[in-house]
Amino acid sequence: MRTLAIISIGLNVVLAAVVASQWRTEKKVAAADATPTVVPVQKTQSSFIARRSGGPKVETLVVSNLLESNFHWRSIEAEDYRAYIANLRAIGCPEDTIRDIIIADVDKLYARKLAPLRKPTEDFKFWKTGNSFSDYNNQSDEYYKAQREFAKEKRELLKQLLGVDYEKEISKQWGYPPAKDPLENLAPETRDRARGLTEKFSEQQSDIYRKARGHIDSTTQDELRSLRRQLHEDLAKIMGPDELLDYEVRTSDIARNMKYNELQAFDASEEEFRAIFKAKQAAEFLQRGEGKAEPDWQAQYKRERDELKQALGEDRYKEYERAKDGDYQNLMRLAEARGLESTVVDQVYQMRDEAQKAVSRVRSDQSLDADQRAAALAAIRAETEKTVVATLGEKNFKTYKRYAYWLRNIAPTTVGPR
Amino acid sequence: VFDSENRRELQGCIRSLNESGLLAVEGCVKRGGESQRAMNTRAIVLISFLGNIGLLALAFHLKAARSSALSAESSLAVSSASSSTRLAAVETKVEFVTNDVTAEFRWRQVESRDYKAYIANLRTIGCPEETIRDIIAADVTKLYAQKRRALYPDLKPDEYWKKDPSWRGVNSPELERQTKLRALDKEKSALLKELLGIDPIKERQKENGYVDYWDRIYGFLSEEKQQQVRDISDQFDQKIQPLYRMQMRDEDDEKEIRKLLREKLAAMASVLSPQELEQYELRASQIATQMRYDLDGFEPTQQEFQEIYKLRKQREEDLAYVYDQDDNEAQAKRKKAVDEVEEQLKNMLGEQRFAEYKRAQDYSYKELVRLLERDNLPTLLAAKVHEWKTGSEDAVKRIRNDPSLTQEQRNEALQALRAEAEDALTRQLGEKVFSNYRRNGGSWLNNIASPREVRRR
Repeated sequence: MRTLAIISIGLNVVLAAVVASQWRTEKKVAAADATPTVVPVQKTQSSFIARRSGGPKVETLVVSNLLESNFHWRSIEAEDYRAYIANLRAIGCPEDTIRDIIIADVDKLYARKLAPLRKPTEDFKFWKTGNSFSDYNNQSDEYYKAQREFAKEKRELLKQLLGVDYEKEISKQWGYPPAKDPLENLAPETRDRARGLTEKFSEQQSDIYRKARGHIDSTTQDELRSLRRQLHEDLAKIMGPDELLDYEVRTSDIARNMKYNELQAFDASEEEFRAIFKAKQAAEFLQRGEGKAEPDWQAQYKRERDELKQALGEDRYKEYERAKDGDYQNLMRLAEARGLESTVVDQVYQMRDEAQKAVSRVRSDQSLDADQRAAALAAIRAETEKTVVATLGEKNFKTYKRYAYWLRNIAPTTVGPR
Repeated sequence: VFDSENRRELQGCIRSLNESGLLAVEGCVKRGGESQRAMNTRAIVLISFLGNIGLLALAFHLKAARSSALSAESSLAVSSASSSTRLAAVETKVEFVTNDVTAEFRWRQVESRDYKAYIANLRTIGCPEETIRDIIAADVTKLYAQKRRALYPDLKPDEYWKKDPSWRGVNSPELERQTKLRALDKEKSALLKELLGIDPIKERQKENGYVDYWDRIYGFLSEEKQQQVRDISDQFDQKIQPLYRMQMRDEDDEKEIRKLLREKLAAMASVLSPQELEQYELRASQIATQMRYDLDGFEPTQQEFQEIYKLRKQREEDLAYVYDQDDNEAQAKRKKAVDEVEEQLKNMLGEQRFAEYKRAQDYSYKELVRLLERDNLPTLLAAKVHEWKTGSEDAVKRIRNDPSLTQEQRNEALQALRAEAEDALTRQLGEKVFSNYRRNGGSWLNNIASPREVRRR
């Protein structure tokens, strides 16, 4: 019996040691994990800053016992993005927030991959001349190549992880207008091929702009034209003519220039816009670089103009031609700035036309000698100015005169009292 | 059966067992009465046996609890065949610790309608600061995205054919929108700073290599003064920008612009020291900005730039461009001012540098410098070409004014001069650069003789 007691007590000692050891280990882990005991829900309304989506209204009152135990962010972190996302989903993290977390994380991952290749931007030196373009676009070819590759990788990765389009997601986040994919109506296979071509085009176009260092001279314009033509020809091989036109009226530089600049004085309908675009694109393709054009460019150009005239109709074609005229655009701007009626614009523009006809007659009149011609032209200018002043008013005319080069082109100075 | 004494003795033994372990128990056993020894031993064995069971059960429980935690952890960490390494893992090794209640935690427990509470809750569960910044920055950005979108109620992005005067015109609603957008951006940045202590969006832009133009310009100022300068700029730009955008400005508009710029400078002077103000002007003023364009190709030193700036600033009004070509008086006044400033510059820079200054005002020289830089060729070639140009222009004058030449002889001489110039330039620049130069800056060649006439020769 005594032996049994000794064995049993001995066993107790051993077991007590084991229990003590396990207890200590458990306490250490708990101490590391259990920093949060209670979620300190903020109840001070004075410093309340309302969130966008809000979340459940009553949740601030719930202090979970589960949190009182030992949830810690580390328990959901994972080396693998998929595991991380799964863990976030497992704790009920909203998809929106998961996207925010993962996109930001992936963004930083690639930014840090690219960082070693990036030259730092130099400090601003006020005496350094030239435009600031080169200060911001002075990276190596290797950098830009890596930047593109990483951008593609990033897009792919986020598509795989979250099933989202990175660019769309970022646009949404920043509140940019929802851009419609100009290729979305194409069959998937065609769309992929077209996207490959347009991406390559964008890369080459960026290279040209970068090389130009912000100075777009005629050589650069030639290069850009040639690139646009190449894209058009490549896309024409895989898209139907209407599909191609649908794409180009939404994306090409010609269309953008029409929308934001050239057609400000011409309210084009959709059909008119498409017709004008086609004519302009055809005219651009007649240029062959270095100031040269296709051998029969004049005949082709006339054909395109005739087609456009037919598409717009005689009157609208005239209005279109007028809207492109710098003098007409200046008058429109003056009217906008000074609150003038649009009829005033038309009247002055009409005066310009009449003056130019009169000038033409005087210049071609062989019966006049040089002095007589100069006097006749000066008289036309004086008369025209008088009429324009009466239409615009003295102050507006003074402004307009600064930009009305056509008046100076009639004769360098006026004669007689004004 | 225990009597009271035996019981007390046994309780003492148990206490001793707790306090001193086995030796104390042995002592107790020895102290027991002989007659009771057998009974006591049985009782001790019984208690000890119960202790064995109790301790075994406790040890088993602790072990089982640990296994359950590990199992919960592995069920959360879903493995994947195509693993992609996370940023956190790249930088620091993540310690993989979990506990038995993880799977039961729900995100809504940290969600709050109040950003501050949301951040505090995230901190409490050990969410890293970087992740908190990511979550809050995205959330705040989306909050302001709604406000931004509200400024474009009628936006129809697919109406590609509709004209868009956003960036033109004086009374464009876009101007007002831009002001509101700037205000929203400022508000957003302030909110992020209040919540997180920094603006994580700006921080991330910096990490991506993006350098804000104005940050770069105002980098010499403290953050507080940068903000003051930006506020003053915003305040005045709201008045100045519509005037700049007005493409049909008159003298009154220009006077108004100059007046507003003077007021802006005075406002800057109220928050900046004289030295800071000088730096501000050299970096951000209209004159300095124009000079950085005008002097391209001259490459002034810091001192030269400052001195030229001083001269131009003193004569700012006199040097202003005169739009009215018929206003001979104003034109003459401006020309006089230009000549006087140039005379002062000649004295200041010396003959050699002044000649270089004049050369840099020449459009064709500037264009050639750009072409050469683009092709990574030495820009010294542009100086040689400029010499050719000035030499040719002098020769043209001589030929045109030579009364001994007939018209035909004059034409021939000019055509020969152009042909000679073209040959020399082709040799100097190479075919490709010369071909580009002819179209970009080389139009002076046409002033010698028309290309058709030269080709006909």
